[in-house]
Amino acid sequence: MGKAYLVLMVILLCSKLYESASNSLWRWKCNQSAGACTRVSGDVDATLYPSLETCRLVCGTAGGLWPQPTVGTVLSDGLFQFSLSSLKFEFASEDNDVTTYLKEIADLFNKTLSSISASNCSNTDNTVTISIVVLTNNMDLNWKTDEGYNLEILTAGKENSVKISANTIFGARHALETVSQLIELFSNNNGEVCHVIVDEAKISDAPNYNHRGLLLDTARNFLSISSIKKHVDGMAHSKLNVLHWHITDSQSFPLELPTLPNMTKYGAYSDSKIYHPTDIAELISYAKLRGVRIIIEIDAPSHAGNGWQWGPDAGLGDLSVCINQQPWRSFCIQPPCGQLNPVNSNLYKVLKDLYSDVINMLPKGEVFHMGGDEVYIPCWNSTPEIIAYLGDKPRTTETFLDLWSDYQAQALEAFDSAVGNTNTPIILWTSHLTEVSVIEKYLSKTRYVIQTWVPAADTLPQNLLDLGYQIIASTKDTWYLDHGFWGNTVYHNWRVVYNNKIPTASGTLGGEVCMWAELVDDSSVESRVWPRAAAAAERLWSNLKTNADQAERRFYRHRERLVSRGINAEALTPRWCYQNEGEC
Amino acid sequence: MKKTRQFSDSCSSVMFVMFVMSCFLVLFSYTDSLSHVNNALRIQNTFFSEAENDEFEVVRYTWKCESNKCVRYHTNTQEVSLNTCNMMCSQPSLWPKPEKVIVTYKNSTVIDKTRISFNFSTQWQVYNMLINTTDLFKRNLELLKPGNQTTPRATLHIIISIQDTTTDKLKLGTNEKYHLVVENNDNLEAVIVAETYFGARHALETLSQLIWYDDVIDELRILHNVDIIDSPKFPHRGVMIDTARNYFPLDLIKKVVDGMAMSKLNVLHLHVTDAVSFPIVLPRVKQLAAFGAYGRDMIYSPEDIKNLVQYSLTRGIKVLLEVDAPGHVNAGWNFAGESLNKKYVICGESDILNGHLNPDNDEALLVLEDIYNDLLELSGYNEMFHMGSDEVNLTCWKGTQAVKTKKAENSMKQFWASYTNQMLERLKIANDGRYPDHIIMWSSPLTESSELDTLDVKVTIQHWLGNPSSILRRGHKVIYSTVGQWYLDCGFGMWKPSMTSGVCDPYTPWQKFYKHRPWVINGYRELALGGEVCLWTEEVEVDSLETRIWPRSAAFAERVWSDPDTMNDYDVYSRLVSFVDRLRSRGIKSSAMWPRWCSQNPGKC
Repeated sequence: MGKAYLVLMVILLCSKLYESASNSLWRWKCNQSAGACTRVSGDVDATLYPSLETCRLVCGTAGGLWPQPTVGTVLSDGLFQFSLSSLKFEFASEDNDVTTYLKEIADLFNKTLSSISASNCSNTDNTVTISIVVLTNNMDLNWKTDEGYNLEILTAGKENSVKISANTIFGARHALETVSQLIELFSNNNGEVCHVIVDEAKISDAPNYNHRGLLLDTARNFLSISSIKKHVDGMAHSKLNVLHWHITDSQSFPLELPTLPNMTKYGAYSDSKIYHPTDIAELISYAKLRGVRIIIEIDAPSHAGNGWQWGPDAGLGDLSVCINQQPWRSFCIQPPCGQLNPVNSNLYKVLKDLYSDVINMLPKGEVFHMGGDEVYIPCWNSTPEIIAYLGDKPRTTETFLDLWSDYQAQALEAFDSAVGNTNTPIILWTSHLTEVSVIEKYLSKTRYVIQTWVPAADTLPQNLLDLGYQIIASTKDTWYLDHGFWGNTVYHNWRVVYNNKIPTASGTLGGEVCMWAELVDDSSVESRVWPRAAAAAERLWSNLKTNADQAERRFYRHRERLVSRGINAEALTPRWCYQNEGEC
Repeated sequence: MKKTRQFSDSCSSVMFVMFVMSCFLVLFSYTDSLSHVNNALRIQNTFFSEAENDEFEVVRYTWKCESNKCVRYHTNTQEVSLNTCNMMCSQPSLWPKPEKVIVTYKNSTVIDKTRISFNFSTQWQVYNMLINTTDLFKRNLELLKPGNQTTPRATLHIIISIQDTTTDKLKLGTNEKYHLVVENNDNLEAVIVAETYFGARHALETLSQLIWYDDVIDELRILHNVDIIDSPKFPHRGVMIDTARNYFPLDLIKKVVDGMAMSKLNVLHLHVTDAVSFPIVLPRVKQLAAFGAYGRDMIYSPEDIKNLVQYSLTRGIKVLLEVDAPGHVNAGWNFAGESLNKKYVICGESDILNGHLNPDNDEALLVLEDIYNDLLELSGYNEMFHMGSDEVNLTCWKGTQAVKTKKAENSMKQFWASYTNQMLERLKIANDGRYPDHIIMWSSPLTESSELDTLDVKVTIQHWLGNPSSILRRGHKVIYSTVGQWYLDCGFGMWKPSMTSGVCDPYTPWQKFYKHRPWVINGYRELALGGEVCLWTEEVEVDSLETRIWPRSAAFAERVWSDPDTMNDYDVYSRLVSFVDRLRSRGIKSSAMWPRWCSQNPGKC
């Protein structure tokens, strides 16, 4: 079957070769037992592939797929040559929204694969038909969404057919992502560049975790919408599905709120560094098409300073205290300082407006992240208004934790009243309030999901699971992408990111890698995040028992894929190691 | 954003234009302090607040100079831009810091980017280079994105005089000193006096940093009543890029050159080949690239190199091409055949990184001579030559016939020295029978040992690892590239599974690049030619080349240009942040130094 379509170039070793300084003398051979593509020169051999990329398509159990499919993968070693113009889609669904979505992802698929170098392919006899069946009309992407899919590729004569079936459009999208990773460019004997697809395959796939996220911080430094879209692209190619948007912090408040224009007026870095509601709406639909949901975090009561200064002028008193106070080391853990004022009742009215504006930008029922990390007690403990409010109470840590939890309760009330129900899941970072001994006193396990950011050795995630809380794991000493550039932190390279295993108990919704932005902005954020976020993506999707070394060849391939799709993914090795698998 | 557009629409109205002009009359008749500038601009603000009263969501900040620091304030209308405050408040934002800056009055004028006049002689040999440089100067102003400039602004007259009008090559002894005076008496004039083209070029770079974009008025301003005398503390100020571990297209390397020119760095050292690839096409030995390049689109042709050399020279930079040997060779070398004595390189089969020139094949040295010939021709420069000589693994050579023959009377290190002498002999032949003045080698066990004295030439050492005291005691010139201080690649962990940790972790922040003074630590200041920051590229490709280099190489640039004794945090941070903005305005990618809030609030982080 397949081998019949394998078209190989004849190598002519002649003096011309030296003149052109080309490397076209190299061919790749797949050693199936080792799953390795080996670079060879010289011989003309029918089992050789003309490029590493085509060899990688079919070599080893999962070829060049990233993340590795979970249920089952069978790939033939044959390739079917075709022109992208002879690729057709068929959709079985009758539902309008579903079909619209499928058409759009089909367009994206074509855009991803189209290449200027392949415009001269004259092979129009061979056809590829991708048919997609989606079994439900569910358009929502949340923690319950079934993202699994089945995929089968068959070839009969000049016809190649790709059959996809999935329960939801998101499963279908992932299936198409997988198909795109079974296709490569191919230089044929006629001097043309065509595409090839693996001629026979059978894949059954579904993720291990339903929350597979990347956190972007746009408050320490602003990220342009086009930069954020690049990240969404990278996430789509790696089957990550949550963009956790840490959109504000004490440094800046770039989110424009229609009801509260003062937030950006006082808090944005400049008028060009603002996210308008239209930007957010566009980004949400951009992400949805790529199988990614956006969860907004407005961090509070700490990490809230610039943007909140306007209270006194508006007759509302101090909404936040310690704003930009110096010397900052006395009032916060990172400059500039700022912490919401929990004893000002006007704050909760403003919060309700704020939540209302944010909820209006999001899909109905979307979860919300309230932050809740790193409250710095000395700030509150040095604010006369708060000291007066506490009256005779001893100003102990417990008193301030109670004050904090009162804040949290009232903030939740404001949120519920803005959204009009009392069951929207709220995510909070681990903090003093989430310690095992006190969390049940302060936070309801039916309302709050806890995002843990402790080191891998810390038992807190497991302890919270044991108490019945749902968690999202952001293992600090492996999944913090900002580490290695400040203090005593060390950089976690892709192997460390990949090897991080998080709890498997059902309360674990998943995990996130975190890109805090003190030291990145548009210029370096892509290479800081990619391809490492993709390493976490396979952990969260496939959760293989094996470690990074076994995934190396596929991962190196995926990094190249990200680059070829326009994402500035950092280099992992000298190119020689990519071209000579397993030899470094 | 929409609001901004309305804002600028109103700017273009006739009434506004007339008003602003009158403001400037008021503004620039004052010549002492910034407080006057503030007063003058406040009149302008009244106008804005009336016109823009209801535009509430537009972000507006103003900066006031308080105790020589710029402090951010909130305002409904902008008054003084951060750039303007930074230039006018304390020290003008120049990078690297000139030797001597005298500002007689803190004063500025709005200039017309379309009317820059230059005055220098067409008779000079360096005339064409100057024309290129002045074109660049004008283009760089364009990149600062001033507004449409529909009304007349001051014309800037630039008068350049050069004493030695024939020196068009940059050498170690080339005088880079300049004197720049900017005055606004009858005319707005910048007078540049330099010994050579290269000094004049630096002066124009400094002049361009006296001009900034003021976003309040959407115009370019120039600081005047300034007198600057400047020259570098060290003659060799370099950036090394490894183009072998991963390949970088020529255009990207040119962008690095652009940033180097802005920083007054003057040596681009390309570690052009290594064991894993050989991307440079050498006319005498094309096979090396044919077999050793990563791909047909991953080569540097002879024309590319010549082009880069000229491009760099215009920017005051010379190109050093290093083909490392006798270690760090492999890819491309064994094109000749398979039999043992025909192999140019041995030991590279089981480990790609361990290839060494084959001492049993004398032809390897002949190939090296061809390489040296080509490198000397392509770089058009033979005062300095880099031979590599990095990390020779002597166990590789142990089994060779050459070693066995000599071993009785010689140690392995002696063998290494004698092989190096053979290489030096090939270099001498390639260089028309005489050694280049400065032959550079990486520091190694050889250069740290007494065998260094047995080399036929007193070589210059590029010192990266270990204690340089024995090298210095022996009186060798040194170029510092201290690992852990001036290495740009460290901190990204191991790149192959067999490594247990990254070679030189952790990451080195820019502050360390700035503070490192090896000539103070090691003494022998007179032997230090300068330094180079090194970017080895195992974990770097196109995507992160620039952000690895900037702003850290700029921090280093001030070290080797100005070598300041102390570091005043406020001064250094605020000038470097301004410089990073300038890099970005010219399309060069630089890593962020901190949250933008810290740039907007100088001294508060």
